Amino acid sequence: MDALSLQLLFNGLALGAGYGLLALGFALAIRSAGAINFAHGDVAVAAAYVAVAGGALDLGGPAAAGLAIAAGAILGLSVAGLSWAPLRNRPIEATFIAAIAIGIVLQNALTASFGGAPQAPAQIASGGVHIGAVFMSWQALISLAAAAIAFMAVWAVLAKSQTGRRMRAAAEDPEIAAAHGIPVIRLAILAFAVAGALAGLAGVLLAAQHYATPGAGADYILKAYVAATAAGWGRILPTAAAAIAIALFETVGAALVSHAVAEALLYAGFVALLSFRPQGLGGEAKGKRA
Amino acid sequence: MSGYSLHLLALAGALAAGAIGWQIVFGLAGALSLAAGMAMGLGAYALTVLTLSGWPFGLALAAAAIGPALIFAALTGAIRRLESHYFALATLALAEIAVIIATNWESVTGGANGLLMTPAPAWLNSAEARAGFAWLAALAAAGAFYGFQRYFGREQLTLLRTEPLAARAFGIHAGPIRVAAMAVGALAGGLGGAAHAFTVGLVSPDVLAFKTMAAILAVVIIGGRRSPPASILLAVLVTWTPEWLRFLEQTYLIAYGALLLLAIWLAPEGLAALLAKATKALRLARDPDPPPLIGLKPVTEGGLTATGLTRRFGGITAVSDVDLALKSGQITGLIGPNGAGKSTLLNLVTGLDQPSAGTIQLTGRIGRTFQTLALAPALSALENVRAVGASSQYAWAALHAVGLTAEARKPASQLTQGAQRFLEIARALAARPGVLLLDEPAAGLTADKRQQLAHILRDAADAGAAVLVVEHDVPFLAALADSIVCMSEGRVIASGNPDAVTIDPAVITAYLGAPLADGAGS
Amino acid sequence: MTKDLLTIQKARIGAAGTALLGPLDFSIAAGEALALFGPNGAGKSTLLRAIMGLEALDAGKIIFDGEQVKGGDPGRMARACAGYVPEGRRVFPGLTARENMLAASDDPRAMRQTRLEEMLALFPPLTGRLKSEAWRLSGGEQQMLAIARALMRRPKLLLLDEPSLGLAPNTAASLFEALAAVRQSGVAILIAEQNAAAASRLASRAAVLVGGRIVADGPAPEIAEPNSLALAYLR
Repeated sequence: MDALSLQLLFNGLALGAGYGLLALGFALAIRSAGAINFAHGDVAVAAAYVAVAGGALDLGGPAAAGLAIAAGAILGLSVAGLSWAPLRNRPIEATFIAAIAIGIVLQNALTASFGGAPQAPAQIASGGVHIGAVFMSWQALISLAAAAIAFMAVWAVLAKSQTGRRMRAAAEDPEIAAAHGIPVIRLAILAFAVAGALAGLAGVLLAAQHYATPGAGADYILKAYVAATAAGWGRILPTAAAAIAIALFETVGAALVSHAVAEALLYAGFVALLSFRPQGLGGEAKGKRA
Repeated sequence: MSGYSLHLLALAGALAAGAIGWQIVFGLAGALSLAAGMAMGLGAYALTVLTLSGWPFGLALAAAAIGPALIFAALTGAIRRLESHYFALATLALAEIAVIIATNWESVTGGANGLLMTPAPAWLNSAEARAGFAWLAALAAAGAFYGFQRYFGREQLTLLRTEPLAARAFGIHAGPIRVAAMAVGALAGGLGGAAHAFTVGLVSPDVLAFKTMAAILAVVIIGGRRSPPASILLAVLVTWTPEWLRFLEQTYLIAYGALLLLAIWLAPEGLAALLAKATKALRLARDPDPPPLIGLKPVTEGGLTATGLTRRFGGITAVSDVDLALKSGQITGLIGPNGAGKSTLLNLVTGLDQPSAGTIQLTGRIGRTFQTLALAPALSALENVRAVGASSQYAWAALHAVGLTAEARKPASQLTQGAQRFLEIARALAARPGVLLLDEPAAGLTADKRQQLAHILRDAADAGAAVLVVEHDVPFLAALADSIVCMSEGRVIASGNPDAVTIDPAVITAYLGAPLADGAGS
Repeated sequence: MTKDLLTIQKARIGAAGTALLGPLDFSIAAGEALALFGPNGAGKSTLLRAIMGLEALDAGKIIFDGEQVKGGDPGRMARACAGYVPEGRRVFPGLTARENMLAASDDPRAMRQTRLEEMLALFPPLTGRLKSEAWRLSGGEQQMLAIARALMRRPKLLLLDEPSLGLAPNTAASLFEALAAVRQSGVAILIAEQNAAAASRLASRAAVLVGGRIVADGPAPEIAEPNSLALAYLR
């Protein structure tokens, strides 16, 4: 492979790290609370802007990123409390509309506070290394490392720990889980908080490299959704693979044609895939949704 | 009125048209589409691009309405069977594609800066005319809303939204209705978008963007998703508040989000519903009197012959080589322990499921009830019966047959369990079926209600229907049925005269897990 | 006199006069096994769900181990040591058999593992299926799993809703053998069953529920005697 392709590959992977973290939080909410969180993308964007604000207050890149993660967790909990918990027993559209409403509030609050122009929080680290002909920025390497750690950690907790088992049980059958002493609501709240934190991390990493606007949440949620569903409805490791595939498609497409065309093709592919498999993209039969 | 106020009025009308168009999709068809902004945007772009290319204004306007309708019909055709979250995401994806195209296809759409419209023809060139056109669009949208509701039936659409599986069993299919709704909604939205475009004098990707969708969402949910008048009122408010609250600037948009959240928590059916509750008494008084009673003879005499019916699911055989004969005027009982295959057999016979082997010959129409009631709780008893397509006359006749005429106007949720069961039977009877299948109709009924049920079923059979009753209350069936079939583990283990079947040793073993001791018997 | 483990007092679900369930009065002593017979729709499942706290009562009380059970809090009943095996088994389909059992336990890890092995001793066929996802298990295996899962917390009372439903006769037989062992270990059992013969070998006492009310209550062999049972059902 020539130098350009390798560079594209690396860039795509780094982008995939950000999308992967986004999709991971989304999938976690599904696997452990059975909830489809429409506000997930907006939480990521809002957390990124918190990092921007932190930067304006002279916090360094790492501190701002930490702030974003914390903000994400808090926002994740708020979404749980405002849209998921109160509307659990209503028709599912109610939860979606509530989440969209939260998204509207977030988007407009951000526009009001920061304006509509694209912004980026400070990078966690500047500079990079050359490996062969490829330039690998520290920021990108940190993103990849963070994503890898996060995926392994979430996977390990869900697959191997007692908490993870109970979360999965609660998502599959909340009533029977409760009848076996599993604290369904508490676990769901934990899941939302962690998912929010992951969204915060994803938001700050993506925004640092690629800038964010207040309305970017819609793109984020679409990509998280595509990754989570293409991978078989929230299965953790396949979600990582799907996120990387999406990022590579976008990166290569942007280099070959344009970013806009690549994105449009991605979405069109998503719709086409859904229209051929209206029952979903697999794995959902066993899972549950809120 | 000042020129500026007229300008705002026109914008409000355009928004109202878009909102009402979306009400057809979400309020009537129950599909959560996030592409309402896209519909309006397509109309706006169609009008602008076509007039700039030299099309006559009237023709471009027509294209602005029909174009989005056709596009949405085609796109929805591809995604019509998706369940709610996938459907919403698919529409969001489509809307994003539209924004990308509008922002990047500069040669046609003018890119992010958009296009300036050519001046509208003279007759449309005053502020009054533009406002008038916008409100004509809104009224047309309202007309489309009520027309759509009339065409598909208010009760039918309600049943589709609240009990989609039952609706499917009664022939109301979500797919085609969604396509129609999205198409008509896009037509209304397209007109609204066109009105917006020539009021503002330009078009840009902003019209397509999600914030238009957000505004429509707020208007419709807060106002009332099935009330065009509420959308009109809210659209005016939403357009004017920036003026009143100019000092708050962006914050009023935040307020809409917060209000939307409040609405979905506390008043999900919107202000219109709250008002409707208050004026309920007035509306009831306006309802017409019941028509004169008529009989409920089946449309055609019914009968069913099934031979060798088998249904396998993977390694399990739920129904094995079952023969069943239902004759007009006769009541057949079907008994058997849980898991014997009775419900599967019912599904095979009514066509909700396909047999792995065997044949079914059916003459006449089929009507059935379900084990778990599938009534639309918000509709009245009468409306529930009409939801399956029965005319008013037959609906009343059916209610009379089950003794519920006094409760005809009560919402189904307010009826007692027993009354609800009878309502379900009325619903099956109203279609005047030749073959009537009932799944545990006596469950939860008190003794005197069971007597009533027996009379109802006997009357139905005497009127010519072939009746099959699945039940666990064996004495009830023994007194009522002309013959009884007993199933166990997928097979028929006894059939014939009720008295003989109920003391059949095989039947008792199946139920009790142990044969009678020798010499015992009743 | 043994203090009753479970007491139901004038419990009712549904409007008075046309109630789905009740008014009901009965109790179960610690270590006692009670079989519940009755036609479908009689309210057996509703009763078990009400005891487990999955349904709220419209009148009356349920007192378990000295504490009153309010509807809507099944977690409380689980923590108070009641185990529930629902109709249709309802194992967690995407979790393996091992995970199904472990998830139901509150113990520290070592104790969890020990208890798991105790369950495997009770249901040997599960040993070979530990790593399979629960939806792949056969009906009989799922039923064993559901019971093992409910037993993980060492309940004082085990509620079973139609455990032999859909099972082949010999599978059902080994199931009842295991339940007999459970009973011998001192766990009280309340079992709703259509298979009256097997249930009456397990339980010393039986009651018949028809139309939401108890129409007979006495020693199991008497109640389960086919003639009298048939009469009770076929009233």
